[in-house]
Amino acid sequence: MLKRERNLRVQQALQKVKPKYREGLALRFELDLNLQEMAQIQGISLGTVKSRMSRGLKAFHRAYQALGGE
Amino acid sequence: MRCRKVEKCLAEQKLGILSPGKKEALDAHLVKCAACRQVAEEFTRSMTALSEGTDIDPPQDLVQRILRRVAREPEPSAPRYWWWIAPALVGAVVIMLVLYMPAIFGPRIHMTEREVLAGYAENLELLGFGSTEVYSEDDASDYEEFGIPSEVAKLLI
Repeated sequence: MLKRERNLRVQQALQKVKPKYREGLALRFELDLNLQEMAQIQGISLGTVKSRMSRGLKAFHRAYQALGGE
Repeated sequence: MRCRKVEKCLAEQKLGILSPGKKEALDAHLVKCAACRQVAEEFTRSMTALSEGTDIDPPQDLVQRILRRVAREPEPSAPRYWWWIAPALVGAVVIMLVLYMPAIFGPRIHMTEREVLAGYAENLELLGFGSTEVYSEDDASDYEEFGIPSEVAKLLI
């Protein structure tokens, strides 16, 4: 699969993820923040960040696979 | 470990928060469950695509919320090196005061030009210089041996 095609699929999968999970994914993978920094910026507990990120990754994986994966 | 827990564990592993006990259980489960091994492989590819396919569009209000939060943060405190700079400066001032105390606060000595010259003259006299009394006829004769007239020799001490 071409890189451009894969990136497009990633974007499409991300749009299917709930905004609160997508926000976490953006902070983690776009801004390279660690979980502690994310908790500080989002104003939520570290436990909530871990929980949201775990669910966000799972949601992204399922959405990405539903679009055909790789 | 149950198959339905595998995705959650894989996500926690990706985040680096999977406990050693769960990691051990996950690895043991993947060895004996082909379906979950397949899931794990697909999950790894999804994560690779996510990591490399950047430009994730965050929710519209994320930037505003971050800016609001940053604005609420207190100002950074004074630089940490002040804890030793301040005492060092005080110490330097004290040392300078001690060294220059006599010059700054000591008694002022005023001497007239005549007194200063007199002091030098006394010292020079002790050393045998600067006084006409040192000159003698013998000295003049010494010069005369070299062909210097006595009138001139008197001026040479």
